[in-house]
Amino acid sequence: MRKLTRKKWKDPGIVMVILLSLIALIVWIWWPTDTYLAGISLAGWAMFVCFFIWLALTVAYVVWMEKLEKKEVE
Amino acid sequence: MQIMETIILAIYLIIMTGIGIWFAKQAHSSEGDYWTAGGKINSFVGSFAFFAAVASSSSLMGAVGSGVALGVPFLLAYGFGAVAIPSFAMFLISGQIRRTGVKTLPEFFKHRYGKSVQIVAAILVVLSMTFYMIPQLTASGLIGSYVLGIDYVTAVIILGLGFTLYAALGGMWAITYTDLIQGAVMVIGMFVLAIIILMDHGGAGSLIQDALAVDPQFGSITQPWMSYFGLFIAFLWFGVVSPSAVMRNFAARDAKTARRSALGACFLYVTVFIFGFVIASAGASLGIADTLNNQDMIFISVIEHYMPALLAGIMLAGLLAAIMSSADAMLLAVAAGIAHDIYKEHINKDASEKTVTRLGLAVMILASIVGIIFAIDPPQLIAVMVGWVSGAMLSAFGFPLVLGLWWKRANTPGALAGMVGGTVTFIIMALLPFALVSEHLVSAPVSAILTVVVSLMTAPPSEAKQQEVDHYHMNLDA
Repeated sequence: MRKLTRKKWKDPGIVMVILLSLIALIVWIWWPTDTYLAGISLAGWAMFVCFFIWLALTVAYVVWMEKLEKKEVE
Repeated sequence: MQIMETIILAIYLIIMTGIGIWFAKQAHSSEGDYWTAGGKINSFVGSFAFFAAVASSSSLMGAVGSGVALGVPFLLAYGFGAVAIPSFAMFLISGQIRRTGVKTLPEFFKHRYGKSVQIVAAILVVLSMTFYMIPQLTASGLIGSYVLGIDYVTAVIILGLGFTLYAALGGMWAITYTDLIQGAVMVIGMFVLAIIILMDHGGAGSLIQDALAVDPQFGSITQPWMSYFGLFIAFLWFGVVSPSAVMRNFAARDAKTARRSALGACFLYVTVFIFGFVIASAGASLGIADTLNNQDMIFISVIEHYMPALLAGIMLAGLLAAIMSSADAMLLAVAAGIAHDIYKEHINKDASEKTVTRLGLAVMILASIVGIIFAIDPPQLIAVMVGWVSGAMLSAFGFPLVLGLWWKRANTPGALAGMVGGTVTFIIMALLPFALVSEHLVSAPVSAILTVVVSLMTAPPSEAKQQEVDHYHMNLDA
């Protein structure tokens, strides 16, 4: 077994899947359909904001993996 | 007939075919994979290739149509899942897929579970790809009928047969390479269109107000919670369960480029859905949604209303060409699934190349006829049909795949039970009156439970196989 072997559950991918699921869960439980912002339901805006959160999570994952790879090389 | 658009369409299609053939020759000469292209593809080009392989133009057209027909939150729910397609697939399966070394879904099933699961998977891929032809044909029929000035049914039949001919002549390479260009044309086209719209309405705020003035329901949640949630789940999982596009990206490239390409594809998705939001608002502000025979037509109406004829022609040509390449890739997947994966591999191993090709062609024609018949009177909005395909694939493949990668105890009977059980449940749910695009909210968990329970009730996989699964998670090369 290699020294750098990580447990399955510490895999950055799984951490990100859990984060993504938690954020999505908040939106789906909250689901503020009757509050409106600029004429559009807040539930719609919440989903819209998540576009950017998904992008941020992806950036974080890419950076994280590249850092891990760098460490492994060192 | 729109003369300018027709001319541009013709020129565009000829150029695309030419480029396809040129690239095909390059690819064959070096035997390089489409995704690696001899290892020269960088993250920038890779992002467009990844994006174009997953986002069919018909679905973008459908997303806008659904945003106008069912209110913009429906489009946003679509984007909520779709933007995460590249990322979710990357988080959940990329490193593991990379270490298995497989490039397509049926290939993975054969590698992990054996022949029986591969055959069932191939059959299900064929069925889902045949159904996926319907939204493609609907979208192309709408564009064709508008541009050529013929009625919708004739356009669907002519284009459907045209797709088959093109697929039979061109083969896979000609198609996949042009996907890169289609992806770029779509993103840039939607960007230009969104800018024109925003300038015309004097900004995003007033655009939304204009839309609301015509359709007060535009910003409202018009469907049950389940429909939005179902749409989100269906698209979130699309990258994981789509037969090959995503796997190819992760399997073939070096890990760093593959990840950066997925990030780029995620960024492209964000931009496209922002533009889609703007286009749908413009569509609603036109106030013509109720006068159209098919509300998916709204995207075309917006293009024609806001863009000058030349740009509109390029945009429509790009749309149609992109749909054509997606439809052809599907037809080829169907043909390969039956003629190669099932017939040649399991029924008649000695079949000659000629027989396999002929069978493939016959299957292709059959699949397009089935597609045409359904597309003549499309059962639903394009977005809903695409959601169904994704939901069905999730119900069939999602858990046998993910559990196969992450849980070494998953075995062949479990995977078979999950696949067949998930699919059957999906079909039953689809036949029952249920909230739009939410069938898989029942059938996917059924598939998961069956995969786990049947695996636990039957003998575990061999020690060697279990070690192999452990090996998927061993190092950092993801």
